[in-house]
Amino acid sequence: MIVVAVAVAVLLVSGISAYAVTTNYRKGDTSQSCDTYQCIPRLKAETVVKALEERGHTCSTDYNHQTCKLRIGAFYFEATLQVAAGLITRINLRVYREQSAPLTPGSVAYIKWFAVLPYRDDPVLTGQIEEWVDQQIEATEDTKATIGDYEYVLANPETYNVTVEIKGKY
Amino acid sequence: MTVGLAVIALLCGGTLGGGTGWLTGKPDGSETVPPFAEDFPRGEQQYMQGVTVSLVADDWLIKSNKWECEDRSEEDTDLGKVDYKTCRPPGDASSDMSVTIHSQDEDKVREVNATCWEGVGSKACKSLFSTLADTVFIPQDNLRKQASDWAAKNSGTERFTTIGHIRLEANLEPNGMRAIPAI
Repeated sequence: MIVVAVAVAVLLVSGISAYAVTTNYRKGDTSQSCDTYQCIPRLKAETVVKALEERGHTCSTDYNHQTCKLRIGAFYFEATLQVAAGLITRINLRVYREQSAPLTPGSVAYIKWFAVLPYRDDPVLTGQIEEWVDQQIEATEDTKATIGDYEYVLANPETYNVTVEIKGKY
Repeated sequence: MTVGLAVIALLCGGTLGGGTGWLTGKPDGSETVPPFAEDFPRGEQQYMQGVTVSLVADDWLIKSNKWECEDRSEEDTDLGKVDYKTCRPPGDASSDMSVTIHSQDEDKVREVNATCWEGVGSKACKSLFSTLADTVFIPQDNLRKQASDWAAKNSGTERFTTIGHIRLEANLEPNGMRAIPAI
């Protein structure tokens, strides 16, 4: 009788603690599986699109992509989100400008806002990513970086067409 | 016996609890987007703040200079309907210069573009370009002089500048001056 009671108690205690440990571990994950992809945790593509629309960008849906655009004078901003299970698995940005003028503060703010989305709750990493964006733009170089669970590719900062891709590793 | 059973229970409990935790555990993370920086592009920046179609066409070109204007519209895939008002001086001078206003409403002016065929560096072209700058800067009164001086000085070049909320671009092919919103 005592043997059974001990066994049950051990089973419960070990089960509960293991559960607590693993769920807590997963809380720290910086990506979340979505269909067969890895996505930015908990942030719905719809939420991002709504925020951009409120800021005056024009958004449209095409199959599993959401694209938001804005044209201001000599500049054109375009963000495409690849959506899986309602979440974002890839972000493609394009800042097009008619002349190869230096990127303006508005363009840099645009790139940074998207670049920090995967780590929006982590002020330290957010700061580091913003710094990385500044450095790449200043260095006018194409770069690829792996930051946590994501791959960042920034291309052509020196030309009229800058592109940035952020995608979950899978 | 007791120890053996306890070890089995420990392993079973650990596997079950851990496995469930692993499968059902979800990452933390806010469901909201971070705030936009002040500089993040805004929809209203598509238009030159305070500049209206009538300010350029009626007040400057038609009333003061007796120019004549024609309207046409085009459907843009991204922007929808865009109106173009092209104004020219009356009579024989009509092929010497023109001003085109791109807009999506009376107070939604996307671009004002002047072209001049009077000769690069000519007084007439200089005067047209500096008056264009002077006009689109009426809503930014303290920058009017700076803008019209820049336009006169850089007429006949391919330079550009940003003054206040507006970007001015001088062009050579053809000789022109373009005012668009800056970002």
